[in-house]
Amino acid sequence: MFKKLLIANRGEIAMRVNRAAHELGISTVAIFSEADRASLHVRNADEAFCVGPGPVARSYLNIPNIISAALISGADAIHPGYGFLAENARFAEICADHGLAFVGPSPETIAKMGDKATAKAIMSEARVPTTPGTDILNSVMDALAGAKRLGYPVMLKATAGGGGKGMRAVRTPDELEHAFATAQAEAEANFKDGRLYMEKLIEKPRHVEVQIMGDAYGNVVHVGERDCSVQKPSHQKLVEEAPAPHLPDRVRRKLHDTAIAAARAVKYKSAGTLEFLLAGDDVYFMEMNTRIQVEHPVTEVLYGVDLVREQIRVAAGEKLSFDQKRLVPSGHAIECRINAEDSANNYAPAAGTLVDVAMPGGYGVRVDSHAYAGLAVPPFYDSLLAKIVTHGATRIEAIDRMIAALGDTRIAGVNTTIDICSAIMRDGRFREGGIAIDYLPAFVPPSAAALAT
Amino acid sequence: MALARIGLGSNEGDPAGYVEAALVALARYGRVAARSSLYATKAWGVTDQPDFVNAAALFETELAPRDLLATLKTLEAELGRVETFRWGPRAIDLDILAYDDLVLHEPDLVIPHERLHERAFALVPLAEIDATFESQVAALPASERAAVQRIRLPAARTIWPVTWDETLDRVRSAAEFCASAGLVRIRIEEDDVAIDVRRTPRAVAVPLAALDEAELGTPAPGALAATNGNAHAATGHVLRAEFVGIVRLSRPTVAVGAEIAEDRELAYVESLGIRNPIRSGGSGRVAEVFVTDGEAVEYGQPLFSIET
Repeated sequence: MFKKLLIANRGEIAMRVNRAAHELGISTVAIFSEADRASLHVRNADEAFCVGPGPVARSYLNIPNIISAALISGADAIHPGYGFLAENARFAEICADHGLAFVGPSPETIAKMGDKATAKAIMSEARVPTTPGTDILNSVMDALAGAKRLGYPVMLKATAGGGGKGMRAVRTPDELEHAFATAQAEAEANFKDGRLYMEKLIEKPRHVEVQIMGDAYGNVVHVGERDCSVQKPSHQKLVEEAPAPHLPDRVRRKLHDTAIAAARAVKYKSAGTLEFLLAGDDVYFMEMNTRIQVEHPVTEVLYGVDLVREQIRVAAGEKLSFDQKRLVPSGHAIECRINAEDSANNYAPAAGTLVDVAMPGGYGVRVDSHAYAGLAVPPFYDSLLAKIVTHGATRIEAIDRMIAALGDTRIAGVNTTIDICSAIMRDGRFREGGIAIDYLPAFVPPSAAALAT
Repeated sequence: MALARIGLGSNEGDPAGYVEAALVALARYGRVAARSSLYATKAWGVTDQPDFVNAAALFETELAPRDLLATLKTLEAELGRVETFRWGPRAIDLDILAYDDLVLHEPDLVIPHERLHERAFALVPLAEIDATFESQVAALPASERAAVQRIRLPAARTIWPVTWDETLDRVRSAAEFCASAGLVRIRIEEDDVAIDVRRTPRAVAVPLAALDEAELGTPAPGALAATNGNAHAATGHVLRAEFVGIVRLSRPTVAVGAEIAEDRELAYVESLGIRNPIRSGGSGRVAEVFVTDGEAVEYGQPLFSIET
């Protein structure tokens, strides 16, 4: 097992990893930016190094200073958390070059899965269903032929794309020529690469993902699925739950089997997630995340396993401590993300100082948070302040427990998503279950409507 | 092309929402060259009515005065009806307050608006975007002016810090960005806050006068040694580590009080096998040495202070 682990992250996930490491008897090294000097993740670690100023490019992405901190402190491994360097194949490679174990999959796997086209090709080969699509389109004629084959509506996408740039939904052949030209120009302008391809547009899908875990000895298990369909207009998740409600057993099995096949295809040896779009009973592979995810506690609570601890053990060359038979879900789990955001203003991030913080607790309630009264929320980073997870014997019990937990939660000083989460938990449509990703953007909290009248 | 001054007002339902919606709708018929903040005015008499929300806009338009009036009436009806028909057609009022320098007296259209001079709720927003109306605002009784309150954006929209510490953090970040981008000046403005940073380019060194003394005195976690920042003269600078690494004092090593004749290497930070020199940045006297040879240093850690 490792002796000392450097945690290349901040906030709640750095604290989460810190706890897992301490439980395993590993001492920890935190890194921080000047803006995070007073953060809990800095205090809770055994050692800490400032690696740069507030902006992430010069601190949490400052590879030379992070590696140097690891070497100076005598760390033998680096846990990247999520975000920042977690899916940076080059960083994983640099760790290896300096004799540091990277807690995650191999650099090759990260690189393959990071490239959407390669990932899709690998998945197709492993007979994992992917969104039907075309190769690179050479002309509008190509595009028209492709769209005819796939059937409208279709989505034009830039091969170098990201962040919605170079993407156009096309519903009729008439729209295609114009959409092709504008998407191409946008892709050219943003990525210096105007190449486009086309996919069938899956309308109003659900977002369901499968947690997998593998080790270096070829053992791969799935740890069930999570439904993350409550997404902000920016496609960021707000509420996650497991298991996915109203999923026919047949579809659930298909998802799990597919995820296992995919993980085996890339000899996956860490914690990872396969994201799927679900439309009716059809399942389409979207992408694979080669990191621990924000919403992993939902799965941990449901299955009673510690994924981060397992991730560290596996990275140290140990075997998975459970097999598929031992993984049995119990009841239902829900997570609400409490972000420093203004939900009434398109979730604009809010910075400020938390003047009052009270977190919920009690039976069936888990809180992962780095918030404390007096914490100045810097403007440079993700707005996540806390993850509240409730567990119940049934879905409704978990939801009602969440309502109570959110009622006990108090964060003053910045706007938060507490109220919107609470409104969602009370919403009839959500309580029914099985909502699609168009749910939240169209959701109007009843309290706001009542205020307006 | 004419420049019209439009007044907007609502006290129904979501008044701010109506005003914002009307501003968006206006842009279909011309260019909204400027818009005021939103202002709240207490509803007179009846106390259970919501406050009025008012705003003004400078509106560039091809429409003649009478066509503009008709357009505004159409918009009033459209916004009132489409948004919430149950609130009736008066959910929003749109008025022509002025139209270029035009003076018009007709039974159904008077420009400038005949009661503009006595309406604080119209004048105050207008004066915010058109200084020619400031004198008319000044001529209003103080009590009427005070009844029109600018609506502050909710705190969460303000990305800017509210405490001194954070303000200083922002200044520091701006200064760092300025230096890293090789700029000599950067000015950032948002809402009521403006940060203006000017820099005299000098390698690695941060002018001592610009440093927050409290920051130097703060014991930091990890490898950063607690330092005494108060002992320095006001002129000079602190040399800090930019790289996480091991500091090695260069030979001959300098001690406190040593005079430096010219720019020279005082130490280097060894990071990933690379020597990153720490230079004095000119002549001066070593006021303090914060580190010892072979010590691990983190980003921003003070190494030497130099008096000049």
